[in-house]
Amino acid sequence: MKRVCILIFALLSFTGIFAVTDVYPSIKTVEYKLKNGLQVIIYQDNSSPVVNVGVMYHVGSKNERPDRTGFAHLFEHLLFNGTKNIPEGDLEYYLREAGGYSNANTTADRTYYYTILPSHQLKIGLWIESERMLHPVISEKVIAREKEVVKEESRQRYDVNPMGRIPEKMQAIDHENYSYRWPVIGSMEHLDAATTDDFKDFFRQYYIPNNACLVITGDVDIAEAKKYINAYFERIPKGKPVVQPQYISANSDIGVIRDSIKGLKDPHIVISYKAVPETHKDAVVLDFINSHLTFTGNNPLSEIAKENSGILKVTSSKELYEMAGNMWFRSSFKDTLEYESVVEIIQNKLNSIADKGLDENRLSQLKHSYESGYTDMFYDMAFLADMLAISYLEWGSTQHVNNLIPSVKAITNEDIMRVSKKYFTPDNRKILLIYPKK
Amino acid sequence: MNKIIILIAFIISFGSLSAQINPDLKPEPSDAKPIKIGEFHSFTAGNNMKVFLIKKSGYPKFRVSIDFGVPLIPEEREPEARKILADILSKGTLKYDSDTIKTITDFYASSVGGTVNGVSCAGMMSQLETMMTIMVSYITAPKISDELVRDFAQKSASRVRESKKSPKKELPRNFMATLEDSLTFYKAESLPKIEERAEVYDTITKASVISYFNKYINPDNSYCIISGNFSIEEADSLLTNSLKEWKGGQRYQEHFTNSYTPNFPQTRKIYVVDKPDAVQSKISVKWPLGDAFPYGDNEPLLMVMNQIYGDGYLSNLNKNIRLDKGLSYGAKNFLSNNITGGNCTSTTMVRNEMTAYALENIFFEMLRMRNELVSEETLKMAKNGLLGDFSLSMSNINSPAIIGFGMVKDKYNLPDDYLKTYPGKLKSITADDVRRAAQKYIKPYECLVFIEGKVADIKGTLEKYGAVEYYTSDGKRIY
Repeated sequence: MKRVCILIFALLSFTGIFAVTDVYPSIKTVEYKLKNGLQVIIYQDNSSPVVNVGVMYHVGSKNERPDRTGFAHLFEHLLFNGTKNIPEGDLEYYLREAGGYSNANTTADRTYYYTILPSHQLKIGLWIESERMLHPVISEKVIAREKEVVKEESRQRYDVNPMGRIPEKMQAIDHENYSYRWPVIGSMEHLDAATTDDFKDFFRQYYIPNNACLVITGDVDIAEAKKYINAYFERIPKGKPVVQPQYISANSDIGVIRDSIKGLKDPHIVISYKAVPETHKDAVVLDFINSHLTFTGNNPLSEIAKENSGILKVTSSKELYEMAGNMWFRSSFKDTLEYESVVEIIQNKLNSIADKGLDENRLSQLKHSYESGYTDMFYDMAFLADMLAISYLEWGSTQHVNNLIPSVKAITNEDIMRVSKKYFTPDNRKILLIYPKK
Repeated sequence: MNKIIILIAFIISFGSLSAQINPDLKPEPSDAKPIKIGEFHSFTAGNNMKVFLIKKSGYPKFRVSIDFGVPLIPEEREPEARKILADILSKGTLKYDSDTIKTITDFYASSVGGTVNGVSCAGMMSQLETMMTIMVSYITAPKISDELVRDFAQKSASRVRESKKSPKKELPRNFMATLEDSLTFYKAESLPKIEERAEVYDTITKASVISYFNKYINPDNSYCIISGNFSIEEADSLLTNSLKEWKGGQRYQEHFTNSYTPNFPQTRKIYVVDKPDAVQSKISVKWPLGDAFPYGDNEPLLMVMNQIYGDGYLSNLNKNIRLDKGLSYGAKNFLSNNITGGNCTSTTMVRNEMTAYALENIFFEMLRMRNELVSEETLKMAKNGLLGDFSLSMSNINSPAIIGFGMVKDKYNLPDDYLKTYPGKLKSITADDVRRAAQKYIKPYECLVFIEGKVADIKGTLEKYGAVEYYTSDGKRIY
């Protein structure tokens, strides 16, 4: 495979990494749509005899009914069980027998199933993904078992740690009128109340070719792959068009919400600033600011804890989804401190960025760091496949991956100050204050 | 004419292949391609330093590391000179002080480091010259001055004297961790005590530190791993030109032997620590393996045995506890190789009231491995799965498997073709081999069980499996 990071325009191969401007790596994919609406994305890289096969469905917890939450995540489990042509329990066995590694993940917006295989086993990867999409076994027995597994997962992930349920409390406040308000893992009561038909309906509605993309990266013969893609996936009927739920903003004006949790050691605060969806042009700047606040040992947030006794730790995270987004600042602090002073200290830090921006060295440092990280994406077939699929489903084009480095490189201090002034304001935030339950 | 026949044959075969694709049937694989072990070259640089090159065509980043001492600089030698040299290197070099190095590396989001164990640098290829120049300065221009030696020596002498006057207070630790640490499977070897002496710091000189530096930090006693878009010639030229001032020395080849002194449990014993608010109990079953050494001859067999017993989604342990019974989000066995003897830990998290049932199923799977011959299908899946993992690890852009091998090749005296022959070793393992290994290494009756959970829900359910001791979370025996 051709990979050059100098300005080269003409390529012998149809696909490959080349540089669009200066030294930024870039890729070219082969893409087409099947008659049933399935988008096929192929990126060829023959440097190692390994291929990645993934299917990303445009369904996540935001597509669930308020009284039937946790479905998308449960399907992440259910679709590993078996199909009409694969006996129950053998799906994973076939992949492992082929030398593959497979997994899946679910977010509020999408669900991704993927397998990394020795490239001579591409066919089995494609066949299994087509079987999974066409006719998986969704039986009462497997639903009952996976419900129990999900309950254990929920306990293990969220209940063993007193702080485990804090994010979902903040989500409920940020998105009180939209389906981002519940966690991806959902409610165990809803899962228990659901019938097998509820699950089958959910599958028929969302796990259809016209709501998904198939992505193949790595050591692939494109002509050969197309032959098997057509044979395996064209038999799957098109489903009804999926309309993503329109976002409805929260209307609550409450600035500070108080809560308590048993077992919590110190008071904890979450300050949430309303921001933008991840596809908005300001999202890349917000991500950059978040990196500035958290990247390397002497970052501005770690300085807060060093400079202010009583503040134990401050973190930030970008909670950006397809339809909406927020920036969170979280802090644990001693109860000798008033929460207002914690808020003021964090706000002052953000005001400083809004007034002065970053110094030029820091700006360059962060840009170099992004460039280095994104460069690896072009050489990591699993990472690249994931990014290609997300780019297609949310940005509408896989070319978004080629724009990742240039868009970060183009960020200026004016952008940083403008975005900080726009979003990090006291009247654009909500505060969740949690005390240890007595 | 021949060409036409070939063309017709090709068209027929192509057409028939398309017609043969039956989407209701599991497809057969194509012909397997050989696993690429990566372009892994070994050569000796102009200054006599051993070099491992991992060639990554087109990759725009690089990494260079030089480790001092083959296999290791023994810690017990001249600990005072070593400590002062470590302090001095932490301040940078004669050409670049530590603040300047930090500023440059932060700016480029790259890395350069220098310690008494080795030096390294990494970044984008466009920064290669800058990073190499800084890295090399750690070994060609160390800041060893009378003033710094004196300063660091005085600080260290005070620290040693102070520590003798008021020994460090033990930090409060999680009782379960303390308990697990105290119940070791191997008797401690009587290693020579490494103790810094204040009186040596009082008299140490710049010459002593330079002597230490010259003795151990030299090319004959070092090896380099370089990865990136380099040919052998380019890597050799880069290292030769960058390190031309660094020559001579002596190689300190330490004798290295794997060994262990058993302190194995003779029975099964269960320790429970109470967590009254716990929603789940965490179960760990631990036992010793004995001669499970890193890169040992039995390593491929142990990998296959563990793959079938407890490593991965389709292992017997996970199939039983998660896939068949839905008791847990997952169950796994961790097999760790060690130069002083290996260990196994089977672990899962289940609802408190299911603790005994889950434990019974762990023991059941341990026994099943010892008693039953694994099926050919299971063996095939385990071997193919591990071969796939191996192939993937070889193709990973960061090459952890290759770098890991390069780093320990001399330490364990491994042959050059170790990675190339590894797949063949995996393929040759039989079901009989696996059962023999299980009978030797899996010990359901000679193990220690550690459980953290809600005692109120657990007490009385475990006694049938062995002697049980119950503790509070701060270590008070309650039953």
